[in-house]
Amino acid sequence: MTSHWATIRRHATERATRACGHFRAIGLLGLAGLAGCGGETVSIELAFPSSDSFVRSANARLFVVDVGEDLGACPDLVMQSELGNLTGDVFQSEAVSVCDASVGRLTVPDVDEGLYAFVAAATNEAGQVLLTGCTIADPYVDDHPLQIVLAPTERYRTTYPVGTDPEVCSADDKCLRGCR
Amino acid sequence: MTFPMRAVRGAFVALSVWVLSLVAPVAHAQDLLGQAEEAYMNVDFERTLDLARQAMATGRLSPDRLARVYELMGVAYAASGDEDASREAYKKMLALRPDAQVDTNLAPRLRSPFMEARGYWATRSDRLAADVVLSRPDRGLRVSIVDPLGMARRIVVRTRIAGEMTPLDEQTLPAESGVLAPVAGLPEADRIEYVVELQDEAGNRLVQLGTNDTPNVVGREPVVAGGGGGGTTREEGGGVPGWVWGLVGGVVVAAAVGTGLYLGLRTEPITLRSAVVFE
Repeated sequence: MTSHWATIRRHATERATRACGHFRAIGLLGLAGLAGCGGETVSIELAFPSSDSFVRSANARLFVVDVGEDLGACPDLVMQSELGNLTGDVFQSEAVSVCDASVGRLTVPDVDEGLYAFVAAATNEAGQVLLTGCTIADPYVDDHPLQIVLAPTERYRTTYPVGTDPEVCSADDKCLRGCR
Repeated sequence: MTFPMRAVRGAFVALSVWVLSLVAPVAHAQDLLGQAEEAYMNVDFERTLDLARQAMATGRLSPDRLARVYELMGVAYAASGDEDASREAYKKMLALRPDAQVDTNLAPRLRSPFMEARGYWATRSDRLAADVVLSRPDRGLRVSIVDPLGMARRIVVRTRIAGEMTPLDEQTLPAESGVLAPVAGLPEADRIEYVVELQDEAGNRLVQLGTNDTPNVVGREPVVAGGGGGGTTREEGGGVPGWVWGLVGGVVVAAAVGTGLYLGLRTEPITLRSAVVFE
C-alpha cells in the first residue's frame, strides 16, 4: 500500500488542487488553510440498482487503481474484481457491511491527485460477487460526489432471475433492525 | 412543650413540601425523557416524539438532556418522513453539543437529515455561547451571547459578592447580546460570584455558566494592606495595559498566519467516504 501511494504521488506535482488554488495564489490568506483547505473528505456514492439489490448484498469493497491515462480500463477491472484477481497497483479496502458503507464507514484515506479507477464490488454472505461497478475520476478535479453505478453480475442474475419475488425487507429495515 | 413540637413538625412538613416542589418537576422531566428513550428502543417513533415534546415542555432540562431530546426528535421526525423538522432538530442538537453523533446503526434515511445539519454547522464559524465580563463603570456584569438559531428567550443571571453567605440574587434579562446585569455592591466589591443560564422558551438551559453550588467568579484579587493591587480577571477596562494585549494579539495573528500559510501551501490529500444511493 505504501509503495502504491508513493508511486501515485508523482502525479501530484503539476496540478494545483482546485479547492486550495485560490488561497495558494493569494498566499497571505493562508489562514484559510486552517478553515478547511486540508484533509477534505469527498463522498463516493455506491449507486445500487434497487433497494432489493442492496438488501440482498451483505458486504461491499472498494478498489482504487492508478490507471495513468487509460480511460478505458474499467471493463477489465470490473471483470478482475468479479473473479477476485484484481492485482497490481491497487488499494483495496476492507470488506464492510453495506449498511456500514451507507453511513460512510467505507473509506479510502489520503488519495493523492491523479486519475484513478474506483471499482466497487458488493458480495453476498458467502462472498459471491453480486454487483460490480467502476468509474474513472480524479477526485481533485471532477465534480463531487463521485459515483459508482453498480450493475448485477451473472451470479446475481442466476440467483435472482427476472420474476423473483421482491424482498419483504426494505433497506431501512435491513440496517435498522437487521432483518437479513 | 406541645406547641413547640407541633411547630417544629409543621416547619418540617413545610420544608419537605418546598423541597419536593423544587425536585418534582426535574424528576418529571427526566422521567419523560426516560420514557421517550424507552419508546425509541421499542422503535415507537410516534410515542418517542410525543414524549420528547413533553419532556421539553417541562422546561427543566440541562443542556445535555435537551440535546438528547432534540436527537430523539430528529430521529422520530425522520422516521415519520418530516425531513425538514428532523434537520432542524438535529441542528439544535448540534448547537448544544457540536461534537454529537447519532446512532451509527441508523438507516441512511434517518441519518441523512443529521448529515445535512452537520453540514449547516460546518459552514458557520459562530456557535451557541455565552460570555460574562465584569464592568465596574456600569456596576454590573455584561453578558454577551451568540445564538445563531435564535433558540434563547431569556438570560437568567444570579449574582452575589464573593464570600458573602447570602443567597444568589436572581434577575431575568432579555436574550440580547451585551445586556447588563446590575450587581449590588459594585464597583467597590472585588469579586462577584455568578451563575448565568441561557434559557429557551420553556426554560430549558441552553448554556450554563456556573451552578448555584459552584458559581463562577469574576473580578480582581482583593487588595491586601501593604501590598499592591491585584490582577484582574475578565474585567472591562481592567488594569492590563493595552499594549500588552496588542503584543499578544500580534503574536497570535503572526502564528496563525504562519500556520495558515504552511497549511495552505502544501498539498492536502483527500479522503473518500462511502455513501449509498438507489437508482
